[in-house]
Amino acid sequence: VRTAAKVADELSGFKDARGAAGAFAEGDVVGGATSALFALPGVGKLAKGAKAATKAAPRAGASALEDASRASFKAAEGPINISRKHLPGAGGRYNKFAEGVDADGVVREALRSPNAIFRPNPAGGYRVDTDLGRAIGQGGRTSLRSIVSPDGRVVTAFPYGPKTP
Amino acid sequence: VTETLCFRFADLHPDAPELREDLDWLLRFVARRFEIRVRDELLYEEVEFPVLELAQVLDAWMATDMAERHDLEYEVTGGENGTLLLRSTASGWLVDSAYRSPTTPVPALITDDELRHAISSFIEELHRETGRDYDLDVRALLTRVRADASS
Repeated sequence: VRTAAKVADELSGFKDARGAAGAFAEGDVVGGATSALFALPGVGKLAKGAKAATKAAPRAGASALEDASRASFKAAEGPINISRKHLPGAGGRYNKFAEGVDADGVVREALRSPNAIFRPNPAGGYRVDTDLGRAIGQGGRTSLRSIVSPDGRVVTAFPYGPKTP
Repeated sequence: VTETLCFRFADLHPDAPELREDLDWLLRFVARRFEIRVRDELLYEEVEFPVLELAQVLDAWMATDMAERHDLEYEVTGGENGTLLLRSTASGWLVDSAYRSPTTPVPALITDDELRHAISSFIEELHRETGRDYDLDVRALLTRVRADASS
């Protein structure tokens, strides 16, 4: 089992206060008090509003991880709106949730998980990858990828990772 | 007239209750049917395809200097790898997909001008349709995303 700490080391990245890892460019330092603040479930109540967060310049290193972690926690509290193309029985070759899986519940769980790994999404926002340790997708996929906007909304989410027997 | 390389789409529509930011448009605005053809041979087809995401990837790729332009491997968000492959060869560009049917021959190479024309036409058609039906300026969106990525 790869722990968040191991993943962070492998990625030369950082961890947030809940233990989740991130891979962002180095160049910033996180303060202990600030780090602890991001561990609180109520991160959406921080002074930095959604609009400001959307327009804020991306930050590097641990600060970027804090932003991603905060956006992720906030996204877990909002609407999920899974695309129908990722639901069982839908057409297309897209990754799909397994039959009987509570897709919205899985996304919320993944966004709050200490196993979450954060990366910048090339087209903006964050990629939050979480291995939930059980099959949640068709083909036995155990991981979920969520694309979260900088202001803390789930833009899309779907099962991810290698198929397992 | 048969286009050398053609990106075809039909029935554009939102795939989410609300498209608030550029990122929503890129990932949750889709074509009910989408296909890529090379010399009229079907290379790739998919439903509910995020056409603006592909347009953004191609736009950013074309914006790089030719000397620095690497081969492109595009993976549609939420799908498998190998949706679209653009590989440089000594004689031109190989356009391929991991989903090409075994019965479809390996596409013939195309020139840089043909590739540029196909991408420009794709973006222009998207710009026209989304402007008409959704009041969305695709060119402005792509410019913003490119600027954000380079900042």
